[in-house]
Amino acid sequence: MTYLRLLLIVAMLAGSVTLSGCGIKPWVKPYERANMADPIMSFARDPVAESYKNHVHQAREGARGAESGAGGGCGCN
Amino acid sequence: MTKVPFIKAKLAWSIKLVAMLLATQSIFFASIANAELVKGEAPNFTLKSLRGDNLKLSERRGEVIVLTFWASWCDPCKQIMPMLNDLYLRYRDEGFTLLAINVEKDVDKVRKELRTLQVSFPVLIDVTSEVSKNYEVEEMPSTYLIDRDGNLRYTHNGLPGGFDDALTKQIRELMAE
Amino acid sequence: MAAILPEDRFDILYHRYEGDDVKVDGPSILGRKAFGKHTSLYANYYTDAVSSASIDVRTYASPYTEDRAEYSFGADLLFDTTTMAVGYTNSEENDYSSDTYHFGVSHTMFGDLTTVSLGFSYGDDEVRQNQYDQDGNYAGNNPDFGENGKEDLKRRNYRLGMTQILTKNLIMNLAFEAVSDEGFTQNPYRSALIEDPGGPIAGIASAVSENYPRTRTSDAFAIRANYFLPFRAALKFEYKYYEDSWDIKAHTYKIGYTQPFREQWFFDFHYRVYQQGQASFYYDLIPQGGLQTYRGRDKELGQFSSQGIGIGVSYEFLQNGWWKLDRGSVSFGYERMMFDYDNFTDYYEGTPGNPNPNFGKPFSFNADVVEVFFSVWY
Repeated sequence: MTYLRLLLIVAMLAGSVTLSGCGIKPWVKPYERANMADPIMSFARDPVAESYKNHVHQAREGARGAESGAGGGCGCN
Repeated sequence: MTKVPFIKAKLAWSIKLVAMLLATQSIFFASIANAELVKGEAPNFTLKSLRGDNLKLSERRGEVIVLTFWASWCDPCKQIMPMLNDLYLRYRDEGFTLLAINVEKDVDKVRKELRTLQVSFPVLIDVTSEVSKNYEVEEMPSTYLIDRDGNLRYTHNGLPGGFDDALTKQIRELMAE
Repeated sequence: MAAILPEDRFDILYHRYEGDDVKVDGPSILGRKAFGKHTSLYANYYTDAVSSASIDVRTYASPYTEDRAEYSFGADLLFDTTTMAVGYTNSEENDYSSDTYHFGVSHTMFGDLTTVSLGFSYGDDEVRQNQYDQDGNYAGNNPDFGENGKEDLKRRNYRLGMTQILTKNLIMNLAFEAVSDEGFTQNPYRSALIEDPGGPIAGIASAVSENYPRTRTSDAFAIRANYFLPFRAALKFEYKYYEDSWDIKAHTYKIGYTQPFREQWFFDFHYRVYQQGQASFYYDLIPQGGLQTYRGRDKELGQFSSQGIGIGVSYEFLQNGWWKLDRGSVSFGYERMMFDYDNFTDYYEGTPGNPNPNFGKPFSFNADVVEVFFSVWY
């Protein structure tokens, strides 16, 4: 792994961890998460179809990587 | 291509990306006025239950009350429903009640959810989110214990370890008063 | 408790790609089930049945058919706010075997508004070269290819992602993935073309072996955003930037819209644009006497752009449950892809009675991509 990638990883993690430790209360309350939990807001509503689409793009194009997002906001707590 | 300029270019790119990331996070740095929910009188409310009748908290004075905030999209909230139902059935004749406050606006969705959940305790709908705000619901499920005098005695944010046992113990304690 | 396991579901999909006289189709079957509160397991069976008479095949080779079978399985393990994912994929075809191992960790924080994830994949591939008899039938692998009939390719992927809920209607995702390949990065059958007056290819060129660098490292950065519209619909945006050590730079732009209708219908629309610059060693036609150490003529490494317009429809049934099922759905997706190559020339002459009208012009083609699938949740 190059120096660049290591720097990026450390920076992204440090950024998120620092802010989470600041005691800032979540600005979107759990009772406001109905829209986030709606399946239409998912980054990949049907994983079986999403992985196929990504496969077609990878096969026909030169680029690879950073395909459809992971994580999401179920809005539990 | 030669290595050094390549790395420098990538470094500049990554610094810009990191700065962008941190800036995005910092926008929401605005400190939110954080009035701690003072342990004292539990905020009163009147909410409509799924059965159609209005339920006022102050009318329940004299009973030990457990309030739990939940939503159909909140898996952990639904997971504790059977346990809460057992507690309700066990103590309801001894001056105890459990009120589940749903924080959604889609009543039909809630009804559908309850067909699988099958609970006996009243389910109230906090349509305006007023009650959720008054109880400073920061996590879900949020569970509050109110004593016979209408005072807030214990709160549980989320599902900490040993939640089941702690809740049962606290209910018994409040009922013994 | 903050994070949750992925939902239990079973999908059967039929996929089909057709374009440039290449047809690839087959099933993809995916099943996932949670066991207890902390574990979710999945398994996937996927095949590609390929029949190809693509532009390269038409120019200097023979049409072929091939089957590829892929098996994957993995687990997601949930511990409070952290999820760990492990997985394995195996892909087999008569000239390519591949094993990939995946590992990932994701952690939600900040009242579940932020999710940070890290992932790593390691792949070990074996590349072989097919031999065909006079009738064009498969006759085993060539023992003189590479070393003892095989070449090796090792792949390493590093992923970093962050998903952030910005407002009650807006969620954003940032993703970074670095890929590092080492070994046989090219194709055992493709040739580059060199200027050769009177040569066997259209009387102007000869085929010459390709030679790719044995390493390839790439970086991809993507940003995605989904916005909830007040009348219950979702607007989606995506931008991705890619660059690698072969000098390829690419941009991807995508816009999507999801519109549900009543409780049972979902309609999806999307438009995607992909623009790519060529690899440093890509040559459409190597000038006479200009043969370099590294050369390749894979049109997918050239300068080109592609557009895709897609629609999807999904209908949910059994919404009140049936037996052990919570609900089911049937879905259909179609995408029209249009490829335009800036520096890949069509050197296919056609047949004696049917010459190719596009001969000598930059190559382009359209493809149809179809997905039909049936899903159940339990």
